[in-house]
Order: sequence, then C-alpha cells, then structure tokens
Amino acid sequence: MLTWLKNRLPEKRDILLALSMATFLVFSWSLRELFFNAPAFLLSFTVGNIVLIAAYMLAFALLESVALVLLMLILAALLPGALLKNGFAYKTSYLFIALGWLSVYLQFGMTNQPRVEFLAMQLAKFLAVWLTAVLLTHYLAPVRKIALDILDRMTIFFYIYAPLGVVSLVVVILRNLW
Amino acid sequence: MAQLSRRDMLKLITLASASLAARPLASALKPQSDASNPHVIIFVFDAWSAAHMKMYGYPRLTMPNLERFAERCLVYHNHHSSGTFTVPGTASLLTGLQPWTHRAYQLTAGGVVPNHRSHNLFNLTSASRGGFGYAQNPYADIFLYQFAEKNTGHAPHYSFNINNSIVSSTPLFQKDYRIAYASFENNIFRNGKGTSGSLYLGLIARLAGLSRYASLRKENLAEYPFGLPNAGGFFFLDAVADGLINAMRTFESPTAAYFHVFPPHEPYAPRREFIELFNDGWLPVEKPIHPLSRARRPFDELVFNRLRYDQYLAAWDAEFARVIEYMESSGMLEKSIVIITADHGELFERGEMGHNTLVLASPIAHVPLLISLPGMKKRIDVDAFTSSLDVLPTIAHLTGLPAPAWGEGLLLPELGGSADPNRSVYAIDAKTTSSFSAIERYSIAMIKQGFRLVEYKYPEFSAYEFYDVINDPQELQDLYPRNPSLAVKMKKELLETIEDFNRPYRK
Repeated sequence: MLTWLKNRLPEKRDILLALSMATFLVFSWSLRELFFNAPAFLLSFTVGNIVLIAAYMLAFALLESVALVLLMLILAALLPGALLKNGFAYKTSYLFIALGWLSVYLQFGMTNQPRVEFLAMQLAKFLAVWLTAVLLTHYLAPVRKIALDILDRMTIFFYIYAPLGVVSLVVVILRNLW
Repeated sequence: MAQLSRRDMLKLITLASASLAARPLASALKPQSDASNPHVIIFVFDAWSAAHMKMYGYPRLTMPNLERFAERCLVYHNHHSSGTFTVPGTASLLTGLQPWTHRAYQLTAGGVVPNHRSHNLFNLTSASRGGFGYAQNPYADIFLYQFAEKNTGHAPHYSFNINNSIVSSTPLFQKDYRIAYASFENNIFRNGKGTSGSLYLGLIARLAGLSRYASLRKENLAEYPFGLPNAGGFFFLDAVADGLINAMRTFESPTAAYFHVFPPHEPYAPRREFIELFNDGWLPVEKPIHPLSRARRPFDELVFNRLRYDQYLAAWDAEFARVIEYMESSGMLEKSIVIITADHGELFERGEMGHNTLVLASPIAHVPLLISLPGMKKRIDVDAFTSSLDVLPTIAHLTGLPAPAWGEGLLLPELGGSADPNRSVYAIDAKTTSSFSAIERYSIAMIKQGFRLVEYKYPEFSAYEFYDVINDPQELQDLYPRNPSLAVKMKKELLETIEDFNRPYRK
C-alpha cells in the first residue's frame, strides 16, 4: 500500500513547492483582509483582541492551505501521472494562482444572483489561462526553469507563514478548550 | 464490554425509577411562579418602529393581535431606544446603561466593556430567578454569550432557523464566541458583505449559500413570494413562534427570559396571505432628503419598502398571536410580567431605508413598549417620555429587588416611577467612533418637555434640528433656525452631557 502510494504521489520537493505557493496566496490574502478590516476593529476591540482575531485567521489559513494541497495530492494519486503528478509543483501552483485570481475577481464583481452561465464562463476563462501556462511550462525548458526557480524562492513564505499558522492554531485550540 | 449481572440490572432499574420519581420532587422543591413570584418575559422585535403601529397613530392596522393584547397592558406612547441599531439598542436594554457607558456602539462584535459585563438582566435577577436567553440576531446573541455567567439557559441564535450559516456559533467555538464571531463572520466568511478573508473557501461558501438560498426560495415560493426571512440562516415565521412557545414550556421555576426575534428586521418577507394587505392608496408625507442620507432613495422606493415592512409586521403579528394565545391558555400570562419592545426602530423617509444610517429621525428610536402584569385587565396609556434604560430598574422594582446600583434609567411611570416632563431622554448613533476614545462624531437626540433636539456632528455635516414632537409628530418643521429659548437651554444641557461622558476619555 505504502509503495503504491509512494509511486502515485509526487516528489516531496514538489509537494513543498506547491504548499509554499498555497500558503503564500492564502496567508497573504488573509492578512490583506485583516489589515483592511483593522481600522473598524480598532473601534471596538483591544489590540489583544485583534491579535486573537489574527490568530483565528492565520490558523484557518493554515488549514485552508493544507486542505488545498491535500486535495491536489489526492487528485494526483488518482489521475494518470502525466496529468498532475509529473510537474506537480508548477501545475498546482498555477492552478492556485488561477483559482485565487478567479476568487478575487468574483468576490469583487459577483452579484447576489449570479447566473450559472456567467460562473461557468469565468471558470472556463481562468482554466484556459491555467492550461496555457501549464503547456508553455511543459514544452519550453527556459520557462520551466524560471517557474521552478521562482517557486523555489517562494518556500521562504512557507517557512514564515507555517510556524505562524501553527502557533495560531494552538492559540485557537487553547482558547476554546478553557 | 463486561456483561451486566442480574443484580446490576436490578440496581440500574431501581436507580432509574428513583431518578424518575425524583424529577417531580425536584421541581416541587423549586419555587413555583405565580402572581407574587412571576416570570419576567421580555420579547424584543428587531427593528420595530412605533411609527408603524395604529395605537401610536399610524393609519394602518399592522398588528391587530398585538393591539388586542395591548388592551390589557401598560402602553408607553413615547418610549425611546437609546441606540439606533441592534448592538447599542440591545446592550442598553440588557444593561440599563447608556451606549456611552457600556461602549457597545459599533457594527462589530466588540460587546460591552469588561467593567460592565456583570451589569445585566440575568445577574440582576439571578438570586430569585433562572435565566433564559434567545436572540435570533447574531449581533444580539453576542451579549447573551457575554452575559452567560448567570444566563443559565441559552438557545443560540440559529435554534429556530432552517439552517445556520454562522461558523462561529458551532459548538467548537462556544467558549470564545465573541472573538470567533469577529474572526469568521466579520473576516473569514463575509458572505457578500465585502471580500472574504478565506481566498478559496470564502468564495465556495458564498456560492454554496447563494445556491442554497435559491433552492429554498424556489421551494417556498408559494408561501414566501418575496423570499425567505433570513437572520444568519433562513427561517420560517411560524417556526420562530413555535420555538418561543416550546422554550416557555420549559420554565418550571420563576424565570427571567429574554426573547429577541429577528422579524420585522429586513429582508421584509411577508407570507403570501399578507402581500395584498394595505394596498389602500395611502401615502406617507414626503420629506426632503436628509443631507446625511447616503442612500438618497427616491420617495417611490421608500413607499414600496414601507408597504413590505407593514405587510411583514402583519405576518409576524399573526404568528406572535399564537405565542400570546399559548401564554393565555396555559395560565402563564397570569404569572408573568410580559414586556414587549424593540431594540431600535426602522426608517422609511428622508432618503433612508432601514436603520443603517446616520440620520436620527424619530422612527428609528421611537419604539413600542407594552407591559402586561399578572392580573391586569385593562389598558393604561402612559404619555411620559421614557427610555429603554428604564426597563431594567423597573423589572427590579416589580420583582422586589433593589434597583441596580449601576443603572442609569428610572422607574417607568405607573410602575413605581412618575412622569417628569423635565427628564432628558437620549438616543445616540456613534458607530463611526472608537469605544476607547471620546465620542467626537455622532448623531444624538435629546427629548425633553415634548421637544426633540438632534445634533449631527460629522466632518462632512454638522447641524442641529429641533422639533415639537407632540404637535408635529411627523417632524416636518425644523424649529431650530428660529432659535427658541428651549432649544438654547437643551443645547447647553446636551453639550454638557456630551462633555461629561467624554471627559474620562480625553487625554
């Protein structure tokens, strides 16, 4: 079973790169939201309260990042290797960027009664961008090198955000236990 | 697992029978409620303005059942909430404190400041009564969590809803609800009230919520043609009334209960049988758009929404009639002090709709107050100007408790207090100001001797307005430009009051 799983899953390095991109996107957006709302929070919460709110946000961001990568790992294990496992780092990272961009776009521009056709069209557009980027990276070695170099450098964010997320998660658990 | 022996089995049966027998014994040992030791039951209807009730002079009979119930109540005609939206309105009602004292006056989950957290209804009555709290509005529910120490029974806001879209109210976060609410509902999942802090799940949750709403709306279109009522989760009006009745059925010993229901808060969602009501051609007086109106809604739109609000009031009244009927038929009414009021009113004039506004026009603070006492048979009308702060000391008086030392209200006239025309009653909106600093930006109203002075103080607009509330209840004529002597006197007093409550916060 373990051998099967090992064969189906991407390289550890690829997983780390994907996780780095996920944490970078999720945590950065989360912090942006926190700073955006901070002036309103300052009106009725103490600084201590706001730090706790940040802890909730970062803990949730950690869980969201991990869940996202886990989902991709499951897909990679189930799908044929050529589709996702090979080039896992850049394929998933591009997907995270495309879906993140789509999410921001829709959050700003979506009405309360979005039409299914509208949503499908937006999703198709962003997936087309993703697919183009994946194909370019797959077939052009220089592009692949640049992409992987950039992803390599993104790991710094993982090493910053992940410990913050873990500490926050502990804080949230402790607050709700006692 | 080890098997139970015959002896163990017998022991268990004996214990079970004893515990069953002990239940009535235990409840017999508890003090029973009766006319001399009554329940205190407070019903708060969210965003319910006195300006829409026939008994207060509105041309439409929006709530016939409640008006019938009022025939055995004390009816306060000039009652005012000290806050203009849920957070300050509820906090003042539950603590008996001015918004500038409890400091909960923003549209957030900040709650009451720590030094006033023990100053509340449940603490006040805990020696003689159990407590029970239910607030369907999540922002009001925050206070029930805050005051949970003595609030022995608590039904969370979603208890009578079809669903719960509030993450923080899942059992996981019960111990840290206020911070969890601010984190999830004000940040991580905004559900369309801004961007969500969760990049991916925020959008998924929003789409899932919209899809759920669309399907629920479709399913219930026949009954709710304008959509389902929604308060952090969709609900049916009859389910809320049933919930209240079932909650009251559990009151074995004298209880201080706080029921804060969402209707008639927007979205105004009357049931089908009420949507033809009030197509009477009546039109309210058109008032000029207020300089502070941000929405600047046209008159036609305000008239349309006013009609929906009135229909929604009628729909809620029909359901609440069952609650009254239950109290009457079960005898509960005769052993309860029943208080029916609102946390704040609602506005359909001067370009503004709802209560998320800085415009402090009368309908937003003028709220109904009905009080029924055990044995009461006929209606008593009280014209004195009263405040939501008065409810708590009056409860103390009626239940034989000493007045709360912290309270800032007075005893209500006819219930231990007397009418004082020189009394000043306040309502304030300071949602743009910090809880930790002096209140420098505000809309504040002060009522005295039948006149209402309003001060607006914002960087973009500062002004005074002065109305004769008795002779000009629609407030069509601003008397302030004529500089009447009473306005000058009231302005001086108002500024002194503001200075007094701001002094501790000035550096």
